[in-house]
Amino acid sequence: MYECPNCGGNLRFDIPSQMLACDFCHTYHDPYSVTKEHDAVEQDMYNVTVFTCPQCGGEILSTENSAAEFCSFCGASTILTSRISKEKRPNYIIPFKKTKDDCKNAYEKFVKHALFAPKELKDPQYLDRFRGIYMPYWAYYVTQEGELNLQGKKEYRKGDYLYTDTYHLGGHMHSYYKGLSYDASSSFSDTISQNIAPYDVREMKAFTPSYLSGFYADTADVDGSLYRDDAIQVANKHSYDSVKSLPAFHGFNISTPPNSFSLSSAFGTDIKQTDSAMFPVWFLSYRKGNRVSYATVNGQTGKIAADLPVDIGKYFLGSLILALPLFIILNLFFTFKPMITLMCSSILALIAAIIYVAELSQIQKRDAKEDDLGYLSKKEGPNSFHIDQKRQKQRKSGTQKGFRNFFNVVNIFIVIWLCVTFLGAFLALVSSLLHSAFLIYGIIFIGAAITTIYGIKISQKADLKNGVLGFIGSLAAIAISGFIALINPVSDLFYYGGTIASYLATLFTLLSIIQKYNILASQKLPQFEKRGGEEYENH
Amino acid sequence: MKIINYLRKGSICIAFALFFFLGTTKPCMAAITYENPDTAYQVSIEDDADLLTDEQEELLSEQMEEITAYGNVAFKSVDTNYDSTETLAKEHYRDLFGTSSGTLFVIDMDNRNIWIFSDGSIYKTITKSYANTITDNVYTYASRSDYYGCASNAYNQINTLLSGRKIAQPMKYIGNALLALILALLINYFIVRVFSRSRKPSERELLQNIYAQCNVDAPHTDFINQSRVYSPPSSSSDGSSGGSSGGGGGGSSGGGGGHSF
Repeated sequence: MYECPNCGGNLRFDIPSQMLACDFCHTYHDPYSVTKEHDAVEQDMYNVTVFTCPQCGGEILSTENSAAEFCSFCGASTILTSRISKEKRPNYIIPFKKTKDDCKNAYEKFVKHALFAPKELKDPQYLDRFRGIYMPYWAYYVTQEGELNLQGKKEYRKGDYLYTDTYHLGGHMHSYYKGLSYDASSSFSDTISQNIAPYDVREMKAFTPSYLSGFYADTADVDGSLYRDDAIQVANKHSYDSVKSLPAFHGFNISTPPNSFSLSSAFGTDIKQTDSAMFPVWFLSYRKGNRVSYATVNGQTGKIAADLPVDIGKYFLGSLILALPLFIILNLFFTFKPMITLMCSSILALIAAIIYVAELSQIQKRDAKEDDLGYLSKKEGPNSFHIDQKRQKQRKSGTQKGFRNFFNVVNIFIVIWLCVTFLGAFLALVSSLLHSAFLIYGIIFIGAAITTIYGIKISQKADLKNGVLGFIGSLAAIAISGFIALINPVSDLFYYGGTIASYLATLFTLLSIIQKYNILASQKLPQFEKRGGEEYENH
Repeated sequence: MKIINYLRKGSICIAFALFFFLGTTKPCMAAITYENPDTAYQVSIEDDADLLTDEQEELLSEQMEEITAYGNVAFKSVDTNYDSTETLAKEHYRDLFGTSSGTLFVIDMDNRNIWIFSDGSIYKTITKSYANTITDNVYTYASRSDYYGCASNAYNQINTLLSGRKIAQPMKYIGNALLALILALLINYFIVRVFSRSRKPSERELLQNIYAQCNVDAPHTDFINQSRVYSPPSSSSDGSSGGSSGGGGGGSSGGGGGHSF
């Protein structure tokens, strides 16, 4: 707690004035003019109360010692245990610019558009649990100094010959990128931090603990070197584009691709400094069962990133309302023959099964936190296999944007197109020998077989109970419908029976899709390891 | 050579004569059992497969007479058919009524198929969709070898539609209701996915919010080497082939639908 120099009352950081305000005498004070005794003595450290959630082990820091009554990480309503600790001072801080009311208003607007969001998300009491937390970030200062060393080529034709002239592209690089930031907490998902970015780091201020007064903070537990390569890659990519657009280098094809690490030596790229910083985030958690959803608002800009679960009742009601005009349109313009009705139902069943399996795959990736470098580095170490894999993937996806690789994509497309054409021709030949339903069902069966194999594999990997049940009904309905279509019975009852079975199975799959979507719009309850810290008083 | 030329000319003349003769053949009038004195629309029954008794034919004819207020009406049954039922129906209709308004109900015992073909103003009411619905509604009679019941019900439903009333289509409504619901669930799911997607900032946005500057002082190029590859330009024809154009002939109207039994 920071005391008012006038009356000894509690000082809190006041967002509108960007000063420390006294609760009692209503005076304002410069955050840098107010310090605690320990802060002044030990410049490198500052005093905080560490609150630990007894359920998930998540820790948040505060400069105050009043009890925290819920955990922002797992959403548990519980009194957090507290202890006094010393934490290493970050170098910089971006103070909160958006008040809690700004944040609540922005979130209310955001949720208003989510037609099927549970009503709890719009509950003012729930919104009051938005908590201002300073999240730790690493801010990289990348410089590019020295002689530019690139090769460029010019191609042209003269008569029957193609000429390639190779040039050295030179100059003196004098570039910098200061403030490329990446979140430094393993408990703060990279996806969330990317979605609420950017922060305007030009508004960063030198850190003083009094800025934390009235807010919470998370501490950096991810190594500062983790995102060095990412920062270097962003700087290189931008410099590459800038160099390429220079009039002196107009018309040259630069030999080195934009995502190559060899650009670092060509540009003289280096990390001059890595600063720790704290960026403001309004944080809200919504717990349902053993999952938790997060809503986060950038405390500087007000940008929102939120998991929006779907209320199945609302979703179903909304679908029934939408079904009415669709039903009228269908009746006005279409009368399907029983065979066509059966095929439609099978195609929709396949689409539903594919969506379901795609969701399982996303859940598996999200729960394994494959996209979260901070989490992976904490869990497996900064040089783990998964981190290397993710970096390679990033580089590949970046390279694919390049013009040269555009042709690879076209080639793949041509191969797929040829395969589909030959497959279609084969099925058409067979279907001419049998009857036309065979062709369509041939394609549906191939799709269903691939979906089944992939779905079973992903269900096992995702470790989800009843994961297979969600799509196996639709696939069974497809098999039955296909059998009916191939037998081609006279009685329409078979077709309509198959159709209704397919639609019911599809309905079940679609409801399972929404259940799985809700899993996707949430995360496993976090389980943190205690970070330790210099503990010297237990409460 | 002269003989060959004479033969060729002769064969062309015969072909023209045949074409002229066949092309101008008037609709067959052989099976007409009734002609409406007010509208001049006719009833035709040709039971080649002998599926109906004389009494049933009479009853059916009486029922069909009501339809002559709107157009021609015909019944046809066959034992042997080397084409599809659809082709048979279309050709038989053209033979009977040309392109004037009317409807034809066919029972094809060879393909075990029933078919309704309509044309002219009747086709505006007895559309392909309704032809399918009616045949769906009556095919079970044919399956039970009740051919009179099948035809009678078909004409009854045709008459119902022509007089502006509705016919039962329960499976159409059930199928469409379920299809509409599934489509609505899918559409709403895509809406949910689109609206819940968070937008990551572009590289440009990120760089606008940091201290960034990219300068290259004294940019210059130094020639290193030159390589050349023999690659003569591929020759391609510049001329474009003359495209042929021509309008399609006037298509015939009419259509219908059917069901196997």
